[in-house]
This record gives sequence, structure tokens and C-alpha cells, in this order.
Amino acid sequence: MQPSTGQVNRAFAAKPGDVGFVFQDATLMPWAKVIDNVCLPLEISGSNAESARAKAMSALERVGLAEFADTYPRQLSGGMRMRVSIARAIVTNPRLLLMDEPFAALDEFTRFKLNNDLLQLWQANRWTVMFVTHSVREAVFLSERIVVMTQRPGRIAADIRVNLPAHRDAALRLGHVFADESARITLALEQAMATGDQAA
Amino acid sequence: MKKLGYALLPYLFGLIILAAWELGVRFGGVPEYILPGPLAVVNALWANIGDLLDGLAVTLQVTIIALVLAALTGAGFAFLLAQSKLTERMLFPYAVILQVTPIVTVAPFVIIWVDNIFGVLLILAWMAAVFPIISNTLFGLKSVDINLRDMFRLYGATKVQTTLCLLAPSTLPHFLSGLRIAGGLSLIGTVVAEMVAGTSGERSGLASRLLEASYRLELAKALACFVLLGLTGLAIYSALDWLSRRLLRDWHESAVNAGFSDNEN
Repeated sequence: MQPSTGQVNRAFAAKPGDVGFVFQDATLMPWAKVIDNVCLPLEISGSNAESARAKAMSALERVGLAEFADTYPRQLSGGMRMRVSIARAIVTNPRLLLMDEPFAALDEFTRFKLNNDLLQLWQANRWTVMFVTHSVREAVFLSERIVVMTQRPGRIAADIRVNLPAHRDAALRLGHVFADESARITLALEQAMATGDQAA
Repeated sequence: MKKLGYALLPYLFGLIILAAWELGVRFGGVPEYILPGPLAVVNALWANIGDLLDGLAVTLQVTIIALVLAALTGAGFAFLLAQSKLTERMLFPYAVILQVTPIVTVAPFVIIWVDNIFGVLLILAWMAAVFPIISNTLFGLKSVDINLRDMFRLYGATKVQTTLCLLAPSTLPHFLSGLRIAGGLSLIGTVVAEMVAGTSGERSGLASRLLEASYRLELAKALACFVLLGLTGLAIYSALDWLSRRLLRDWHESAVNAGFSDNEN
């Protein structure tokens, strides 16, 4: 696709594997065991099978699915499949993680749980994560910086720093600080929608 | 006990029909050159068993080799077609023509052009079997999950990697479904070819023996050939069905859930 304007700057020369992807669906290969699904990015880049397996196993451990390595995706729940998808994205040790509404199809509890886990993973690894979501609470809970976009045409309406401590955990969701931040972002979002409507 | 009766139901039905046939022939005074009873057929089968099994071996050989060739060429052709819209547009009509042309009409030409009778049978059986494999494999290649395709591209997979790790496993269920249809068609193709090519002598297949027996009004022997061919078709289908389940049982719904339908009853 040709960009109409603008440019992309990267701090690193990207080779496949420097960027991890998590899609809206888990997008796993149904014919491959969980471990083989996670191995895939390494296999494609031609790394040796044994070290790939070890790395995949460690990625599965990090998402809490080590004991499911030898099962097939169809035997897992939606949330577990998403974890496998995340394990596959982080197995190459990426510098940038692109996540496109990864938890949109999950129920609220599973979503909270995966949010907590993702936050922990991030705190341990500190990749740059670009996370697209329609949930304000999810955005506030996970982000350091939130970019609000308008609907068609997709323009940047606001660029907000989140005033929450860098170290967060599940308890944060219960406090009023979190509620205030959520309210602030919701307001920004509503304004963005309003200007979007005017433009349309 | 009830379950056993349920399982035996189709056999019981068959037995009743056979008994009615035997009694009808026996007491209705139907001569054996018009319609022999099932016992006469069994007798003919037993009396000619060595001869008939020789014929079966020839027929089976042609059927299996033609099926293997059809599987290889069909899958290869489908892969070629799937390379681009252009190749599909250019070549697929010819695959359809191959399918809709009755092999009986092609047989005389093949017999003239190919002087080896085994080759003639092989070509005609292959013609009958190849289309469902092309068609189903092509359908499978086109149904590959678009998101998985994108993922392979994002991680920089080569064409070979994408083919082996994505296209092949994803298409396998469709290919196998085509193969199951092709198994029966390959046998039908062989039988038709044998009848049209009129092979005779020692190396003749079961179908040409059927024809020969019917010319001589040895109807019991002809029916014995018919029964053997029917059982062969059933065996080929069962073998391919088993293969398909075996290969897909870990992940594909068709094979994974296969056990449930029996339990539900």
C-alpha cells in the first residue's frame, strides 16, 4: 500500500521477528500442536529446531501454558488460544509488539486476567507495544500513552499521557485514581467523536 | 442387546432380500441363464475363485496405480492452477472438459494410440479419477485462512515454507475428500475401460471376465464377478476413509468428531 503522506521512523533496522503480531483472532494453525504454533516464527527464520523449541517452551511458560505445549488449539478455550498467540508473538523477543484488539472477543474476566498478565510481561521485558482497543478501561490500565483516533477518516484527535504509576497491578482497577483517569480519557474520546461527526 | 440388534439391522435386511431372491428363483421356475439364485452365485464364486482372484489382481493393480497417478498429477495440477487467477482461468476449463467427456467415447482413440493394453486401462482410469482431486484440492488451496497467510508473510516466510507449512496441511482435508471420491471413480474407470478395450486372455481383469461370462450366459459367474467388484469398491472406500481419519484425527473436525455419532444412538 502506498502512503498518502507522512513517514515511519524506526529506531532499529527491522528484520522479521523484531516485530511481534497479535491479531484479533488467535490465528493459530489447527493442525499444529501449541508448541509448534509458537515455534513457527523461529522456524521461518531458519533457527535450529532444538533452540526454537526451548525458546517456545519459555514463551509458553511466560504466558502460563507450559503444560499445554502438546495439545492442539481446538482443545483450548478462547482465552488460552489468545495466550498461545501472545507466546508466538513474543517468542522472537521482539522490540515492537503490535496488538490489534487482541482481547476484544473475550469475556470481561478473561480480559482482565490477560490484561494483568500482559502488564506483567511488559514490566519484565519492556518492549514497545502498540495496542489497539475499543475499551477505555483496557487502554488506561495498560498504557503510558493513549492516542485517541476519530472514526472515518481515522485522524489523531488527542495524544494523552496517562497519569498512573509505571508499576501497576490488578488492584489499580479498584481505586479512584483509575476511575478518574478513565473518565478523563472517556471525555477525550467523546470530544473526538463529536469533531468526527462534524467533519462527516 | 438392543444395541446389537441395531447394529445387525442392515445385515438382517440384506439376508431377507437374499432369501426372498433364492426362494423366488427356486419356486418361480426362473432358469439359471436368466437369473441364478444367490446360492448358485456363491457356488460359481467358489468354483472359479482362483481364476476370479487373478482377474481381480489385474483390475486392482490398474485401479490403484491410476489412483496414485491421479492423486499426484491432480494435486500438482491444482497447485499450478492456484498460482494465479490467470493460470486458473487458462487451464481450469480443460480440467472440466476432461471430467465431462465420457471415457467410453475417448476409449477407441486411446486404444489406437497406445498399443499397450495396460497403458490404455491406466490412462482411462486416470481420466475418470483425476478431476475430483483437482477440484477439491483447488478448493482447499483457495480456502486457506487469510489471516494465517498474512502471518506467514509478516514473518517473512519463503514460498517453499508457506507451501509446506501452510498450504499443504491446510489443504490436506480437501485433498483427502477428493481422494475418497477418486478411489471409487478409479475402479469404475478401470471397469469401463476393460469392457470397452475388450481385453481377453490370461492378463484380463475382472470386468472383462464378467463380460465374457455374460456372453456365454454363465450368469452365476458374471454375478460373482459383479459381487467381487462391489466388495472391492467398498474396500477401496473404507481404506481411503481410514487413511483420511488417520491423518486428520488430531485436529480436523471431520475426523475428531467421527466417534460421536455412534455414541449418540
